[in-house]
Amino acid sequence: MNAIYNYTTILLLISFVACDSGQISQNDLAQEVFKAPREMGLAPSSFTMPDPEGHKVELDNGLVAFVVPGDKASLVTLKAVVGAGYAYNKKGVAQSLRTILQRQPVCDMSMDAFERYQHDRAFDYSVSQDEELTSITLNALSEDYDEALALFTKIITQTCINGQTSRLFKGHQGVPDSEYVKDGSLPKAVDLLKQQLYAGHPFNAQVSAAEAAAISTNDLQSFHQKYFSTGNMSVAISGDIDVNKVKGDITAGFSAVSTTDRQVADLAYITSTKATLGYTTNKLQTWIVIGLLLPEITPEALPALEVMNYIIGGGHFDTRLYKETRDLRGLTNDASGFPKWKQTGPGFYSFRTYGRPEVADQLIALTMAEINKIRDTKVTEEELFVAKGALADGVFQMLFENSHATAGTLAEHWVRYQSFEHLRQYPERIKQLSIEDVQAAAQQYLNTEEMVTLVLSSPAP
Amino acid sequence: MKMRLFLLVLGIGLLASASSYSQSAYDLPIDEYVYDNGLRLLVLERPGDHRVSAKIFTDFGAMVEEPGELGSAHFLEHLMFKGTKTLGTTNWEKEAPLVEKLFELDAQLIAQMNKDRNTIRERGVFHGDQWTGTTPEIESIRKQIAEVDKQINETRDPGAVMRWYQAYGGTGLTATTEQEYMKFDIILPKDRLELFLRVEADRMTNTIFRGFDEERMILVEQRYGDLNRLTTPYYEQMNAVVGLVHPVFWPEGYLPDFYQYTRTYEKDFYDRYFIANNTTIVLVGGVDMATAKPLVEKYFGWIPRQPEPMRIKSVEPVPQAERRLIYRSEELAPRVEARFMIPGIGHPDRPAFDVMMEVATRRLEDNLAKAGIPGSVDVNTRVVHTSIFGVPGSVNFALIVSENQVDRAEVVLISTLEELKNDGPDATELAIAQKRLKAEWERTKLDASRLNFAIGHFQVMDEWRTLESYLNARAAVDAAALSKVARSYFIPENRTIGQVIRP
Repeated sequence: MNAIYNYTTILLLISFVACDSGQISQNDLAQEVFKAPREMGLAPSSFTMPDPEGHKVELDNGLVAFVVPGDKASLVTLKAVVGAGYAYNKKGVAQSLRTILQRQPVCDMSMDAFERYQHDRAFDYSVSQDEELTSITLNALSEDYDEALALFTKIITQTCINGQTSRLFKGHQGVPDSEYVKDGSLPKAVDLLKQQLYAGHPFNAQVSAAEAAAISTNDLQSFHQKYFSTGNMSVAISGDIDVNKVKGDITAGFSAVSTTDRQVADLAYITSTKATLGYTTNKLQTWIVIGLLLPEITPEALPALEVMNYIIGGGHFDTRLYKETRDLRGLTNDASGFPKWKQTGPGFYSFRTYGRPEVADQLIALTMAEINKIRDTKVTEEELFVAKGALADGVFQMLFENSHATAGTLAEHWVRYQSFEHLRQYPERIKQLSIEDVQAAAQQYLNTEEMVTLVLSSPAP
Repeated sequence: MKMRLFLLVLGIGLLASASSYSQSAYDLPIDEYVYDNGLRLLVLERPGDHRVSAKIFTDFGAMVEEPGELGSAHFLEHLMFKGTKTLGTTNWEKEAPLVEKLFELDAQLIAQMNKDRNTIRERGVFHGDQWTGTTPEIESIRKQIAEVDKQINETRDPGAVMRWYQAYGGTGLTATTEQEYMKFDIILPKDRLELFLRVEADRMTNTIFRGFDEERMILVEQRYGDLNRLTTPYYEQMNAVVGLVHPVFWPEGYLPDFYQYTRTYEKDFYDRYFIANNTTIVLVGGVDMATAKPLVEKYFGWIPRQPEPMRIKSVEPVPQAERRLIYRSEELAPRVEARFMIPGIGHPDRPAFDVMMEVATRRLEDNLAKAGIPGSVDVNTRVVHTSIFGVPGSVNFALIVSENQVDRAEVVLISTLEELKNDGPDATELAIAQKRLKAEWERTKLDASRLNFAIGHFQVMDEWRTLESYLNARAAVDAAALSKVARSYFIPENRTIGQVIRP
């Protein structure tokens, strides 16, 4: 980069010469303002993380909630984060409960009535679930806060689990994928690889028809009783709210939640073996996912993985993979790395790209070359500087973008750790990382002997 | 003469106690400043925000393209990520003469293609998607271009334009080109706003088209991605039937178009439209005008005003006849759709269509159920990728049903729209529609980036002040107003019916 800055100096000199001859152009003048960004003297970010304790409410039954007011819009968000996902308990129970929560979570409304109820009140209601967490979110106009709270409380504390709703999940399991995949896509390719890597492990999301049929109402009720309780759940209410009223409402609505200790799955760490898997589809592009399972990673060690991934393929414009495959060669619209860390078992780290069928082999070769390069050689000081800034001043700050985001972040972090130390220390841990730490992370987490390459290919034109 | 147009809409509303402003739920305390060179700065301060959403809008989009070069506006956006004279190269002194050489070769290429016009002319109907005509002479020039590009690559520093945004905490790094605008966006810590101005002023004045032919293939990839969706070719056919002449209905490039782009054509766009007096900077978040104004002056103030860019001349003729499309597909879900041309943002009838979409969606769902036809309803105003325009677009009512119910569904569709002409919605329907629109706006307000986009989008479609008046007008739409627009626009002469059926 130094050459660029030298160029700026040269331009300035040219400008002065031009001045002497009376020929200075507007463009020459303009160069004086285009300093190298690192020489602009940009101030350190003044951002400070909101104090979690200032928003925390603890009920007598032990439930911890977060109340975060915000004045940017006349909206309220009610959120419950439950520390149990589809890896918990008997196969398919969590997914079955998720289906109930999505489609018919309260018994006094049919599925159609529930959908119409949300529509007519302009509620934005969603349920998400992964291996370890289930989140239920209801966003509403603040003028409808009382109605939204009543519904939300009922959904969480009196979820409609009965013979009829327990059947909602059954019969939709489909058939296992064959080597031909209709309507291929990148998410489908990722899903196929996850199925392979997590085969036989609780992190495998696939539920067979027989497993679904074996889920009873009792299974669902037990799951709800065990995890929708103080040890594994947190509630967050945010937005255009009266804080004192909301604190009272939470007490009134959630004091009956049963008191439990935190229940955490303790799952085996498994590994994969180097292989190539092939599927075909009927589209115009070929999708490639190269992935492996991650070993146990402590929260303290996580920043090194994130910085390393940011440099090789962190989903932005200035990553090694993006430059090599897209910028310089025009092979793909995207090439990125996704390290999905998990708290209770093996995470899934994958590199994803796609392109016209004739460039698929080149994309695989370039991706592997970059993986080897970041293992075998040190990243530059500039790459480290960029990644640190992006994560500590970018991604981290966005967790607190507004009151709604802040409340969700705090609730999820509480459910995972019952403290905020990791959150508080994250920016500093990022800043402390060295070039050697990044290479060590690459060598530890990018074991090419464990990498499986999945190709979901379309026919060449 | 510097002109300062400082408008606190809320403040005016409070002073004018009896005016509609005082009742407005859509107050937007936007501060405006227009520089000598015509650059417009709009600032909406949100005290307490620790970040700033910053966007730069250019009044330029796909509507200025010519047939055969469709997608070239979008392509220019891609090229504007390739760096400037100060970002994206390790040695500009070495690169500068090579760039000059590239444009000389480009001129030769264009001249040769013109000379060989009868040889390279397309003559087939069922040509391949990547059809291109060429001659040995054309290929020879292309080879020389590739050689020069290879030399430029030796000093390229890809990713540099965005690198510093990332390094200083930038998130939401995107750019978009649609029919009426191009914009670049970023969300930065409020202390780093100056970086946005430095990078964007550089991009506006110093862009160098690096990796031109590699980037051309990225558009091919994006087109393949579009074509992987079954709806894409159907929607393109529908748009082509709804609009006779207006480029708002043209797609973002067919595959042969991508091989036609030249550096000269793109540079001409860049020089004509990326000028101060065709640009609006919008800042929303932890920043005020007093802070932003001198910083913008520093980075953009030196740029001279240029001749105003050419206006879009196309005017869609008054529709004269019902049109009908039959689209046969083995895979796309069967459906029937009715599209009607509707006015653009700035026309007094336009706000009613937002309410109409909400009311019609619910009515169509109910009437479909009453008729015993299983299916779903999709009502939108999308044309290509965008839903609102400063020119006439279309409102689209689609019923997605099973294969043997398409004709029956068409009866339900037409009769439902007739109902709306005669009776309008009842009070409950109207209240629900208004509540949903209000919630949608509040969700826009919550997100600084979405709010920023709404302001800038209205500026390029009409002017930013229209946004608030539009929202107020929409909130005032009643049953009579809806019936009136239904009677005016839902007429057979303005109707295009599309049916998706099995072959």
